[in-house]
This record gives sequence, structure tokens and C-alpha cells, in this order.
Amino acid sequence: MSQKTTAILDLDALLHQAVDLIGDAFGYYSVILRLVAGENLLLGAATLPVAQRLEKDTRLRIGFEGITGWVAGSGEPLLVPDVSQEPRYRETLGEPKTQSELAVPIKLKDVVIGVLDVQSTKLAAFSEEDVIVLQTLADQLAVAIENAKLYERVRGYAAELEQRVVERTAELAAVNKELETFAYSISHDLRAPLRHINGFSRILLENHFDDLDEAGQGYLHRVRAASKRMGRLIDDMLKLSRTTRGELRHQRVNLSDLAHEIAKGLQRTQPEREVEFVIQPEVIVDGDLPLLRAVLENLIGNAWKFTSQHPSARIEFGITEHEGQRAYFVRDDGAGFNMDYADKLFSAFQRLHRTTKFPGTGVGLATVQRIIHRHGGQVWAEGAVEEGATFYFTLLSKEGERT
Amino acid sequence: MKDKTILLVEDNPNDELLTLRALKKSKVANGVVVAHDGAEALDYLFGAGEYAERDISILPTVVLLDLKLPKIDGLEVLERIRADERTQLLPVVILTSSDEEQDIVESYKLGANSYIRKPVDFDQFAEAIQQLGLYWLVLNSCLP
Repeated sequence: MSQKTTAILDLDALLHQAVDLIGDAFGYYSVILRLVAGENLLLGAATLPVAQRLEKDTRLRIGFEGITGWVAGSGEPLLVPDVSQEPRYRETLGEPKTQSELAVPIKLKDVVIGVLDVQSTKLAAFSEEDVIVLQTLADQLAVAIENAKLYERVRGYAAELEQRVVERTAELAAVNKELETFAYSISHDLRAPLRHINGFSRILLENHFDDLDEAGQGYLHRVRAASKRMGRLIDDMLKLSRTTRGELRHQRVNLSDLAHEIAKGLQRTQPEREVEFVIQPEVIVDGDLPLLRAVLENLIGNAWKFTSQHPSARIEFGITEHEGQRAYFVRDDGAGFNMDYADKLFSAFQRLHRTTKFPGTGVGLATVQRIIHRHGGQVWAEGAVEEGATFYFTLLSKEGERT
Repeated sequence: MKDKTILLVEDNPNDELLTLRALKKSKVANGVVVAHDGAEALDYLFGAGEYAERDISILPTVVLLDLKLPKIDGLEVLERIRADERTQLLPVVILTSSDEEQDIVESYKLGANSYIRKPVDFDQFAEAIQQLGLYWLVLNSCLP
């Protein structure tokens, strides 16, 4: 029986199965299982036909009402050979068939959690041996009941958690939608006035050039440059927001090929520069091609930019190992950075260099970080001033292992 | 040479002024008609409202269409142009601020011939307008 009951995790089913098994095994007139609830005992389960006569919400006050109440209060079993001679006996079944009764406490670590009560229509139906057998059963039941209660609680937590996930997902979807609307509005509405500022200052320069002195012309050039820069900032911001919108489309991506393409593109923009690219061949990963391309464009583009003040440079791309995981890196021997500010590298609009020295909006590495995080990876950097920088990243493979 | 007019659908007076200036510089258009919202553009094309007296058999060579418009937005204007057999083949170029994917995809789905995002820098904008005029009014063979 203990095996049959300890395997049941639904409390109600467990209690019913327990009383039925005991009733069948011993042929008792009634088996009633009550559980402690505060100062009362509540009906857990009872064998038929007794169960039909017992109200589900029958309460017995612990220590005061009936044999069961006394057992719950004392924590001791009670054997009553003749209920008519027992002052603590209370008729609860509505039918005076019961002649003898045996009740044992269900205890868990000395705390009474319920009472197992059996009744017989015969006088002196229970022996001292029955007390031991029933108490043994009650002890096992205690464990099973506790398990079921714990399981119910865990199930409750799980349901609550699931509900919370559903709620959070809905919240997230709403926020995402809002973000999308926001980005859309920026894309449409914020750029228009910038175009106007830029356009009219251009017209001023063209039509009224002679009305302006050199300083005035200079200011207008600054207005134009500033509006262009803000245009770039808006574009980069939109790019950044796009990296977190939409689904990831996983496919096989050859990072080496991408790196070569990007390197060629950069060399075309400034053919006079002496930059050696060292790209490890056949670096193949699983990920979203356009997003991974953006990662390499940013990292290799940065390497290109931050080596621009050196007469010659070397930019490397390859695989290395970091804490037992495969990591990818882009290394340069350019301007580098102070490791004290390493944590600021990946924040949007944070820059470690003056714009006049190295142009940029400070969005590139924030974009890289978002993309890598979306791929389940990490990104970090090492560097020293004028000694170059190395950017590392990891990716989570489809199988859930870092590759 | 046949009159080559452009229908510019633009609600923002600043954009209107800048676009007209760029078009004027490109010297490819004989005339530019400006409609200030979607409804006015459709009135012009289909001879309604203040254009009720217009000979609608004369179509513009190309329509430059902004997407964000009052009353009837650009995508709906495009949809109505494509739905009417008199204008279904009329070249429509989307000229707008946004390069949001949804706008580009929707525009092409509805039958836009081209999609141009207005650059912030006026020189680049003027260059784009010049090329656009050159392509649609000079190089491209329109329907007879």
C-alpha cells in the first residue's frame, strides 16, 4: 500500500485511494481520514457508504470532539472496544451501527497532520496488533501526504510562474510594439526638420554667399555639418533598434568570407592605406547572416578606423579559446583604449575618443553587443592605449552549446 | 517635345520648396504640379474637385509621392492609382523620409516603380532628384 500511495502526487486522489485500500484490505465498516486545518479536523476522505453521509465540511475541534478529536489533540492512538462505554465517543455517522473504533494519529516529525479512523459494527473488533499495523500505515501516509502537499505547492508555483511569463510576454510585446511605433515616428518625423535645416542653410550659402562674411559662412557650414551628424545619429539609432526587432533567422554563416568581403570594401574606400588583413579561413557558425555581418562590419570597421593614424596596420580575425569555449576575435594594432573605461565601450552613444580624431556616433559597439546577446553569446574587449584592441565574442550554437 | 510634367504630392511646405528647387536645378521638368495631400493628388489625376475642368487624358510623366500625407496617405493614393485603368501604368516614385522596411515593402507590393529616401544632406537630395528626373523624364521610354 505504501508504494501505491507514495506514488500518488494528487492529494485528493491519494486520500481516497488510501481509505479505499485500507477498507478493502481489512474489511472495516468505515475508514475515515481527517486532516488538521488550524484548530479543526476536516474530512479528507472516507470509504463508501460512510462518505455519502459525511458532509465535506464537517469540522471536528481538535482535543474536544469525539475520539478522532482527542487523538489529534493528544497525538496518541486510541482503541475503543465498545463505543457505548466511551464518554469521548460522538455519533457522527447518523446511524448507530458503530460498536468499536480505532483511531491513530498521522504524524510528521511529531506534528499531527491528520487522523486515520476505522470503525467496526462488531464489539472489540480491533486488537493491539491492529493498532501497530494501522499506526505503521499512518506513518507512511504522513510522508505521502506531505509529498502530495509539496507537489501541489510546486504545481501552484509553476502555474503562477507560467501565468507571470504569459503576462510578461504580453507586456514585452506591447513595449516592442511601442518601440516600433517610436522608431517609425523617428524615421518619418524627426528627419524631416533636419533636412529642412540642412537644405535652407545650403540655399543661404548658395544664394546669399556674398551677404555673409567669412565667419557667417563658417557658422552656416557648421549648421549643415551638425544637421548631417544628427541625421547619422538618427540612422544609427534606428539601426540599433532594428537589431532587436524581428525574428532571428538562423543559417550557416561563413564568417571568414564575410570578413574578406568587409576588408575588401574598406580597402576600396582608402586604397592608399597600408593595412594587412590576417583572416583565419573557414570560420563557420550558425546565426543570422545580416546581423552577424553587422557585427563584423562594426568590429572590422572599428579596427580600420582606429588604426588610421598609424602608417601601417595589421587587422586579424580568427578563433581562440576562452574559458573552454570557442571565441571569435578581431584584433588591431591601432589606437587601443584605456582598460579603465572598458565597461563603457558597449553603451550606446558612449565614445572613448574625440569625434575630431576618430569620427563616429558611438552606436556601433552597442549594436554589436545587442546582436551577440540575441545570439546567446558574450562580447568583451581587451586593449591598451596605442597598443591596439582585441574584441572577442562567443555565440550559442543551435544545440544549445557554445561553439 | 511633349510637355513633361511632374506631379509632386507633398504636404510639407519646406519639403515642397526644397524639392521644387532641386527639380528646377535639374532642368528636366517643364512643369511641376504640387498636390498638398492625397485627396488633391487624386482630384488632379481623375479630374475632380478643383481640377474638375482638367483634361485628364494628359497624365503627368511621373508622380513623386510622399507617404505621410493628410486625408489620404501615400500608400492609399498609390493603391487608387493602380486600381484605375487610366492610371495603372503611371510611373510612381515614392519620395519619403523613412527607410523602414514595412514602408518599402508595402510600396513595392502596391506597385511603386521606385522608392527613394530623402537624404538629410541637401546636396545629396538635389543629386537624387536630378538623377530621378533624368531617368524618368529623359532616359526612360514612357508609354506613348
